[in-house]
Amino acid sequence: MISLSKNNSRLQNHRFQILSIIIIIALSLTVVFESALLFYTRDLGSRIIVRSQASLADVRASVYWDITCTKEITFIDWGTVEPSKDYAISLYIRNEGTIELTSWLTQENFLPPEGSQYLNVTWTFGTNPLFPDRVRKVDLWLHVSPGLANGTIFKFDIIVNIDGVAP
Amino acid sequence: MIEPDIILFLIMFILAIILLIYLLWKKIVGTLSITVNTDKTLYTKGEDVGINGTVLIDSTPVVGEAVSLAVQPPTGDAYSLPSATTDGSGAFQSTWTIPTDAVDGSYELFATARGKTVSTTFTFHNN
Repeated sequence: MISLSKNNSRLQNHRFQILSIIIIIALSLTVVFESALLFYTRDLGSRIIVRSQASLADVRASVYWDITCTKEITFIDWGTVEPSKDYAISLYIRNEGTIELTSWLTQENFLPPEGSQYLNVTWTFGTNPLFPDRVRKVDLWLHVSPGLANGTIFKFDIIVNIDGVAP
Repeated sequence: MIEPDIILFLIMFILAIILLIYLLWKKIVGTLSITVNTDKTLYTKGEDVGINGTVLIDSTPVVGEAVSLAVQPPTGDAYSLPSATTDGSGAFQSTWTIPTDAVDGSYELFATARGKTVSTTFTFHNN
């Protein structure tokens, strides 16, 4: 009787060990699989850089996620982008200087360099000047060319150029 | 074969851990509540908008907290207002002078503290 009970206990312990090993293997496989997936489908990211083209020092602006300008944008993670698709985000640009400003976008530092052939960014800032202490909501669009192979461009910089407007 | 009892035990154990983490998080962080109001709902030319509100965590005042403010007019760009700071009772006050070129319509006032944004609306008529 005692021997049977001991055998049962050993069997239970054995099952727990097997279960633990299965869980550890499953977790390890998940980590390995996810790492491999990340390696082959690396997300596209863009640094956001505000660059003043003005000779005057007080032409300043920043870009934010929110209308109250508490979360500054320095980087946009576009995720895994697909050919022939457009991606949109909303952002807010605040004139932090004392002079009316105008703004336009350029792109640079593509990795790899041929990425410039496949990606284009546009926005809805328009031509109206942005007055000091005013905040403009802008929609930013990433247009992906049909020629892009999945996951082949990893990063590029979006330059928010600003310049003062003569009153 | 794995015993169904063991699987059930593991599921219950994981759920209990998740619940415990959630409760601890709530206890540590608390629930943030922000309010923002204007002293009137209708303004005319030459008037200032009186702004007030509170920042509390589980009914306890958050003292010395910066509150970011902005006003979105019916059309065009929003106005960025100077930040307000909460006092000993978690309250904040501010004033916004309606610009002379303001357009008629509904305005939305936004307030943000600790990453949470709330808003209220008021109306402006030029005469």
